[in-house]
Amino acid sequence: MSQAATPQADIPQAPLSQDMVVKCIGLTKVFKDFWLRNRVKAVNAIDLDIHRGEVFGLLGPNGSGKSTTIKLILGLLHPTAGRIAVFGQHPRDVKNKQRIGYLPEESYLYPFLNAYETLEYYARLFHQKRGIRKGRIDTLLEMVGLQHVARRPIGEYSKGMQRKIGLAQALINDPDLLILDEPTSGMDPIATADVKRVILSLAERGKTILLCSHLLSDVEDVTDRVAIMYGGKIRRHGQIDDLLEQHDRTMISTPAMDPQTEERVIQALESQGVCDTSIARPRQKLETLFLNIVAEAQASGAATSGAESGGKIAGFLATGADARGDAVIEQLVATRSTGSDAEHPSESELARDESKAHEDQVIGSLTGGAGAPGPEAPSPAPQTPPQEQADTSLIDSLIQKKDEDHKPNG
Amino acid sequence: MWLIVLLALVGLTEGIGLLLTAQGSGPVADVIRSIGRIIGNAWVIYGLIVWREVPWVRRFGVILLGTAAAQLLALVFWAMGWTDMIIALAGAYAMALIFYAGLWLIRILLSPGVAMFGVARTLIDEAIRMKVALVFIVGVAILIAVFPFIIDQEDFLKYRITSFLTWSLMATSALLSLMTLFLAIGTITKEQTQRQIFLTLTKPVNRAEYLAGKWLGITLINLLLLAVAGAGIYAFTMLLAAQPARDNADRLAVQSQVLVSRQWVEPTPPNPDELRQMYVDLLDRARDEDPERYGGPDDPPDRVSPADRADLQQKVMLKWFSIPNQSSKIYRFSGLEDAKQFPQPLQLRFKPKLAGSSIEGFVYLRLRINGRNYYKPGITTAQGLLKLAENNFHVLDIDPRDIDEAGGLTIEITNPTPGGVRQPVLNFNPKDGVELLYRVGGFEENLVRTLGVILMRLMFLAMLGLAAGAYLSFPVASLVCMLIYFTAASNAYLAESLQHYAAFPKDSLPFFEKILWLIARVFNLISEGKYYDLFKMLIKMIASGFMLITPSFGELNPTPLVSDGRLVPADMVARAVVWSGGVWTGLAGLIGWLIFRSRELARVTV
Repeated sequence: MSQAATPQADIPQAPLSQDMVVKCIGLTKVFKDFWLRNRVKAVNAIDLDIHRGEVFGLLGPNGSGKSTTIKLILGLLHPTAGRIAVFGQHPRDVKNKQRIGYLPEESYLYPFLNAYETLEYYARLFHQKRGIRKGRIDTLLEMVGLQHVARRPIGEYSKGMQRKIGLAQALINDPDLLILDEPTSGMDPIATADVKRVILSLAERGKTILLCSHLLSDVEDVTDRVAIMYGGKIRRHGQIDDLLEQHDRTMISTPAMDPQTEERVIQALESQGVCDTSIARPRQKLETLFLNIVAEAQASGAATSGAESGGKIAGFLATGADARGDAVIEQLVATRSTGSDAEHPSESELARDESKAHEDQVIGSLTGGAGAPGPEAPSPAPQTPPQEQADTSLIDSLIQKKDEDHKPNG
Repeated sequence: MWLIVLLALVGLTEGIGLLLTAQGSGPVADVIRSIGRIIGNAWVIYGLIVWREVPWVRRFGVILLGTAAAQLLALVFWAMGWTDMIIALAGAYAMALIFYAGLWLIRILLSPGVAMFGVARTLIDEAIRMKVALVFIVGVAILIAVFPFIIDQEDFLKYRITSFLTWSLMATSALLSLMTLFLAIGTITKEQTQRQIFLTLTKPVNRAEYLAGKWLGITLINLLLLAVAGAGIYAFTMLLAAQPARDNADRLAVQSQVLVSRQWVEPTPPNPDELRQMYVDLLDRARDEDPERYGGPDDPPDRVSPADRADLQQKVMLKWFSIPNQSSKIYRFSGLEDAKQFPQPLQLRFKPKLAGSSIEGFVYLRLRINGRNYYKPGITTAQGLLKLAENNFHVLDIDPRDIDEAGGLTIEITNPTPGGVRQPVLNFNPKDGVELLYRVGGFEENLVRTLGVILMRLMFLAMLGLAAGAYLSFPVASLVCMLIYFTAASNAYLAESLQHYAAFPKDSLPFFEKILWLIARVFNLISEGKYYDLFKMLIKMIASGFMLITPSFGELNPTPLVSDGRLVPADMVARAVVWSGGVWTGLAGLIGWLIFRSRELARVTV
C-alpha cells in the first residue's frame, strides 16, 4: 500500500499486481451544501491499495472519512476527484458486486421481514437457486446462532442480533471481498469474539477483508495491515506488527520468578550496561478473562435468558468448535465451483481433513439426507471470474495516467 | 408431525367408531368419536400455538381464526335480525379469502432466484405488513360490501344496480389509485432515508432492475386487489339483481339494459348531403353578418378557423336534432348487420325535450319505423301518438327483423299537434339524445374489460410514484403525483373551466402569433393596471401547459359504460394498454431511471 496526503504521493511504478483487489488513486470526496458550494472535504486525495487475501483495517475517529471511503468503493458515492478500481473494474460495475459482501455501519434491514426472509431476499438478489439459497440460509443462521428466532421479524431484534443478521447477509454470496463497517458495534464481547473468529477463518481461506472500525482492540486482533485516517487523509499506514512494535524496548518472557531471581536478572542486565529495566507480571486482556468466565459458566450448565443467543454462538464457534465453525464456513465456500479452493488447495484440504465428520453432518443437514445430496442439492453458484483473469485494464490505465501526471514537464 | 398426529387421531377414533357401530354399540361409538373430536380440536389449537412461526401453519391459523371471527359476527347479526349485514359479511369474508389465496399464489410466482422478483416480493410483504396497503384494502372491501345496502331500497332495481356499479367502481379506482401512489412513493423514499437501499444496490442488481422490481410488485398487488374487488362487485351485483324489482318492466330493464353489454349506434341523415347543405346555409348567413371572421361569400366553405367550424357544426347538429311543430325528421341507423343475428330486440333510447312549456309534463310524438307507426300498449294514445314524460330517457323495443338488407334501420319522428294544441319545438341532445342499442355480450366480459382499463391506469400511477420518489422526498413527491393524478382524472372539466377562466389566444392562431398575442396582452394588462386579470392569465398559462403534458384519464373511463350496460369497446381497452400501460408508464419509467441511475444514494447535503 502506498499513501500520501497529496496526489503526488508514491505510486507503484511496477506493473500492477494481479492480486490487487481495491485500488484508489488520489481519491477525493467533497460534500456540497444546498447551493452546491463545497462544504466538507470528507476524503482528501487518498491513495489506497488492498491486496487479495489480506485483512485491511481502516481506522479513525468519527468523521475521519472511513465510511465515506467505503461508500466510494461500493459505488454508493461518486468521487469528486481521483479514481477507484475494485477487482480492476469500476466500482459501480454490477457484475463485480457478485464478489462483494458488505455490512454497513448500521443494520439497514427491513423491519417487517424475519431473519429467514431477509437472508432469502438477499440470496435472490444474487440469483441463487432455491436449493443453494436454502442451504446457505440455514448454515448462516446456525453460524450466527439465530436459527431459533429465524421467524421473528427483524424489527423485534436487539441491535446485536440485527448486526448478526447483517453479517450473515454479507456472507450469503461467499464474497471474495468482504467490507465490514463497524461489524462489532452493539455486540456483546462473546459475539464480538465470534465475529473476529469468523474474520480470521475467512482470511485463512483467502478472502480479502476491509474492516473499518474505531474499536482499536478489535482491529488489532484481526488485521494484517491498517491505515489510520483523520480529517479525510491517511495519516499512518503499514503492517500492524511494524506499526505497533516499540523499536527502543526489548521484552523478555519467562515463567514466574521469585524476587531474588528477579533482582539477579536486573543486576546482570545492568552489568551489561542495560539501564531503565523493570520486571512486572504480565496481565491478560479483560476480553480473554471475560470469555473464559463465560465459557466456564456454560460448561457448568448455568442457565441464562438474555444472552442465550450469544452463548450459542460461543458454543458453536468456540467449543469444539473451531473445527465445526470452520466446517460451516468451508461449506459456504465449497458451494462455489472454483475460486479460493483452487487457489489454496493445501489450506482447503487441511480444513476438510480436520473437519470431515462435522462437514458430513452439515452437508446432511443442508441436503436433508445423511450426507448424500438430495434432489435439491446445492449446485455450484454462478461462477465469478477467477482473480487471476480479472480485467486490470482500468487499473493499468490509472497507473499509466498517474505515471504521465508524474512525468516532469518538458 | 402435527398433521400426521391429527390424521392418525381422526382415523383411529372414526375407525373405532365405525367398528363399534357395526357391532351395534352405537352410543359407545358416539362417545369415542366425541372424545376423538375434543382431543383433535385441542391438538389443532396446540399445534397452532406451538408451530405458529411455521409459514403454512400460520397461514392455516389465520384462515381458521378469520373464519371463526366471521362466523361469530354472523351469529351476532343473526341474533340481532340484521340479515343484510350477514350477506355483507359473507361477501367481505369471501373477498378476504380470495385475497389471501391470491397473495400466496403471487409469493409462489415470485419465488425463483431472480433479483427483480426478490425486490417485488419484498415490496408486497412491505405493503401488507406495514399496513400501507391494508388500510386501502379494508376500505375497498368494506365499501363494496356496504354500498348495496345504503342505496335507496325504494328506487327502481335498475337504478340501484347502476348506482352500485358506478360507486363501487369509482371507489375501487380512486382508493387503489391513492394506495398505488402512496405505496410507490413511500417504498422508494423510505428505503433511501432508512438506507435499506444501500444493501440492495451493493448486490448485483442494477438500478433499472430495482425500479422494475418495485413496479412489478405494485402491479401484482393491484392485479390481486382488482381481482378481489371485481369478484366482490360481481357477487354483490348478482345479489342485488336477485332482489325484488318494482315491476316486470323494472326486472326486464335489469336484464336487458344493465346486466348486458350493448353496442350503440348514433343516427345519420338518410341523405349524406343534408348536413353539409345545412352547414353551408349557416355559414352563408354567418358570412353575411361577420365577413371578417368567417370570410367572404366567394370563399370555399372550409376556409374557416377550426374553432369556428366546430361551433358551426355544433349548431348544425342542434338544428338537425330539433323538430318544429307539424314537422318530421328522418334518422337512419347503419351498421346493424351484427344486431340482426341476435334474437333480442333492439332498443331505441331517446330523451325528448321541448323548447317551451309541455302539456302537463308530457311530450307527444309520432314514431314510424320503416314507414309503419310504432305502437306500444300503455304509452300509445288513441290517435297513435306516443305520450312520454318530458326530459326523461325512454327505451322502446324494436324488432330486429325491421333491419333492412343493407344493415340499416330508418325511423321518422314527427312533432304533432295533440288535441289541437301546438307543441313547442321538439329536440334531442345531439350527444346521446337518440341512440339505438343492441346486445353484443354479457356483463361479466364488460366488467373484466373495465377492470383491465383501471389496471392500466394503476400501472402508470405506480411508475409515476416510483419516478417521483426516486428523486423527491415523500411529501414533495406525493404533492406532485397527486397534482398529476387529479389533473389527469379531471382533464375534461379542467379544460372547460379554464376556457372561461381568462382571455387566451384562439386555437386557430399559429403558435408564434399566440406568443405575440400573449406578450402584448401582458403589457396591456400591466399598463391598464389590471393585475388580477394578469394573474388569472398567468394561472391559465401554467395550467394549460401542465395539462398539455398530463395524460387524460377521462378519455379512458369505462365506468359510465359498464354501469349503463354498454360495451366497453375493445379500442378503449387497446388505447388504455398502449397509452396508459405502455407509453405513459414507459415515459415515467424512463424519466425515473434517468434520474435514478446516476444518483448518489449516500450523498449528504451539508
